[in-house]
Amino acid sequence: MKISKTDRQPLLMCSSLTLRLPSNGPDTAAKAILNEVSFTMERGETLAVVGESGSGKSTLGLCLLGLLPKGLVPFVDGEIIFDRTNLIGLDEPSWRRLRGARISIIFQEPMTSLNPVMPIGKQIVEAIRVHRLMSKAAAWDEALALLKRVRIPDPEAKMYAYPGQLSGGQRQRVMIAMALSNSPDLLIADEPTTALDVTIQAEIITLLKQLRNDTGMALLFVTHDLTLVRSIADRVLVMQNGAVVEQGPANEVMQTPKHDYTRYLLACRPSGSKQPIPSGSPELLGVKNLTVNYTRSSSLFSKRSKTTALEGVNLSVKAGQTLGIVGESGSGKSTLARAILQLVSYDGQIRFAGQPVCKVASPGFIAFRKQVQVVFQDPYGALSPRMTIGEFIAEPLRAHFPELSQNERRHRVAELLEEIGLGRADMHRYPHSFSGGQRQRIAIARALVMNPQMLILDEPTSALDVSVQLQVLKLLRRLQEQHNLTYLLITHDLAVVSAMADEVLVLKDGREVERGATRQIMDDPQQEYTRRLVSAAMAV
Amino acid sequence: MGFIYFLCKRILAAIITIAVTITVSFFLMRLAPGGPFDLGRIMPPQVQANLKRHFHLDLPIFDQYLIYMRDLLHADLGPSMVYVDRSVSSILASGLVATLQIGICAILLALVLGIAVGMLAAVSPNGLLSRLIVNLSMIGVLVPSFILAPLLSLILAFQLRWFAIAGWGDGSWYYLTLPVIAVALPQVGIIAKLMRASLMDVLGQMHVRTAIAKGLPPATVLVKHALRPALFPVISYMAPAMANILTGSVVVEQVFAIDGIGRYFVQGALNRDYTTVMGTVIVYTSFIVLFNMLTDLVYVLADPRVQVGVSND
Repeated sequence: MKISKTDRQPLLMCSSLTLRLPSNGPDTAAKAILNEVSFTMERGETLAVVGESGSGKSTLGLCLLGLLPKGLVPFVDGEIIFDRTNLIGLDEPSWRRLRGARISIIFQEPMTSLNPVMPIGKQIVEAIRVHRLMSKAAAWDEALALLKRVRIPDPEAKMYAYPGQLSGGQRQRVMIAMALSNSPDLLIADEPTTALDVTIQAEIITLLKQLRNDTGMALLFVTHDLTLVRSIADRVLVMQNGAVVEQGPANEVMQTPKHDYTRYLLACRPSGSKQPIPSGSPELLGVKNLTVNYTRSSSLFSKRSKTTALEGVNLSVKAGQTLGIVGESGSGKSTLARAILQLVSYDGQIRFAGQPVCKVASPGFIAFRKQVQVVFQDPYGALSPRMTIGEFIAEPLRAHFPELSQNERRHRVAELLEEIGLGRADMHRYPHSFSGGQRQRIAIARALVMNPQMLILDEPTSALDVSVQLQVLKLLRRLQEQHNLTYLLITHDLAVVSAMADEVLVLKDGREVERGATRQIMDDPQQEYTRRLVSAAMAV
Repeated sequence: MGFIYFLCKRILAAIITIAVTITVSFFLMRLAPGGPFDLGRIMPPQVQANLKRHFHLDLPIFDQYLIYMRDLLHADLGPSMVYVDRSVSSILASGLVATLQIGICAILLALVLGIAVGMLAAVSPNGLLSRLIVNLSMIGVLVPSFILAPLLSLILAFQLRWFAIAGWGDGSWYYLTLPVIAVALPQVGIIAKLMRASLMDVLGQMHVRTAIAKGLPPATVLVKHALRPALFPVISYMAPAMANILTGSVVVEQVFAIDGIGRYFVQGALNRDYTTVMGTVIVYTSFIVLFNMLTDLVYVLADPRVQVGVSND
């Protein structure tokens, strides 16, 4: 790289970078999205920017590329010196010479970040040719070399593929190839692995590390995940509410954090393990040889085609137990939940409390519905926006216990709200006034209102910030002990499973890979796939 | 393989659609009160009976239907019941000249103008042009063509004498312009609005942000990355747009006294000229079905994510 010995100037120097939105009314204070952010980056250095949602870490990344929404630009203050040039107030043509040439970015969303109607090869060629005078053929060869470098399988064919034909991990590799196409001095990676499965996540991190070492570029790694920091960063910047609360060498910050918030974030990883249930507890849920096929129907003229989402899955959960269902996307774990809830049709046997589950709409089926409730992943989509949370929680009571008076229903709702850590008065508020974690608690309260024996938790903490995630897990643990609940915990996060579950079932492509006690699976996995999953979760 | 299968499927569906439309309109038309020979001068009962026998109107309605369908399969639309000595085919052939010219010019005008204006508006969403378009297209949608057409005629033809007040003449732009504008204008408004909303949406999408982050100039970002996905809703609207233009031309042909399909349709319906109405219905239905097919075809060609005949789940 072009580093001369005398060049003492850091590559990037941010001083007092501030983005403060003016107050829009006397009641609201001015809101600082970025507050006096100062740091420097040397050439070839990796800096991790860590924070929860709303910390301003992604906004910081966008500032460095001049990608802020136009309306926000006038409110930016401070200095960003990149290689002796102040980027604040830079004109568009100068920005264009920097973007993609000297500073590149990889975004979080591999599914939407590529142009869906342009072949991969063309998109990379375009990134090369906008900054360098080069024939199409030469750029094509270089794009192909880049795809090989990011180790995409069958790169020649992928040049002609559209993004929709690639997996999430492959698309992220394409993004990386594109970002590297002009050998930038600085690569900003904005949560590049958050949307990916754990095994893919580990592969992408390894690739980024290797490319960084090969090229000598500086890497600004934006993440919410402190565990990733240790494996990739030289230095760490911890952000909270737009301000830097702590920065320093990665090892130092991770081992002896100085700021309370850093300590808090570090302590937020799920820990401990579940208390074993008394032996001889009866089986509550038994699933035998469960197979689910999705058929694509079927207009008047087309044949039906079949996709097998689950094949021959067996499981057994005892009362008071937590069974963790682990798998990557496409493994069939959510389909399993839907089948048990009788939301999709299936072949095989499902027994609940010793009885076969009744047909939908029979009287026995309604009793089953009361006993098994579900909490979904997305706390933003799962609550009806036009209902107060009191109405929302009480709705199952109205349906199943019409004899209850309004006061009795209210009483039950208040009881539940207090149990999940909200106040009685909150029942009159609407979902939008609650945070993500609070909404997930409300969804849990809704599931509990019928006093069920079993909760199916479908990725209950995946959409939440790390600190909130821990609170929700603690709540789930407490509720389980108090009410002797049985959980079916579906997740991709092995740390969550390890802290919460008695037993684990690992799924891949709709089939069981491995099943056993949590400790045994985590410490001594028998199957190759489980080993990869566990080591990926430990490595990052 | 998948594509040919898709095509055959669509053609079969189109034939069924047309057959159903023909059947329904056949019975609706004949069940309406009155008949082709009840109007105009009074005829002796014997003459009327002869006429009815000649056109098979004395038979039960279902038999009439079977005879009509049999003739139709032989590409025979029958004689007109009102225009003496003219076959429906010859009436349609003469009417198509004007209607097709108006229709094709109108849809091209609506597309070109609508997309261009919509793009300009989307690029500066809070600009004067953008707000103007939202409001003007509202007017374009709200003002029906039977008001718009006479207004245009009054100002541009009667006052300014730029164009013909009515008639088809030699079919040159002097006669063509006003009917085309009257039919196209509401569609320009709708397409511009559609294009504006769709392009604004696409411009806010992640892949456009990626394109900017590559260092591409704004014009390249717009044309190469935003335009194509933004056109998909407009493509979907092509079929309803054509249907609207055809129905619009029914009114406009009346106002400008142009002997097109629309005018024959209205006259035929008023005179209970069963065969002529059926002929125009067949022409209209075929056009609309054809345009629906074309729209789907263009969509498949334009969007690589639409994979014909392949399961994607």
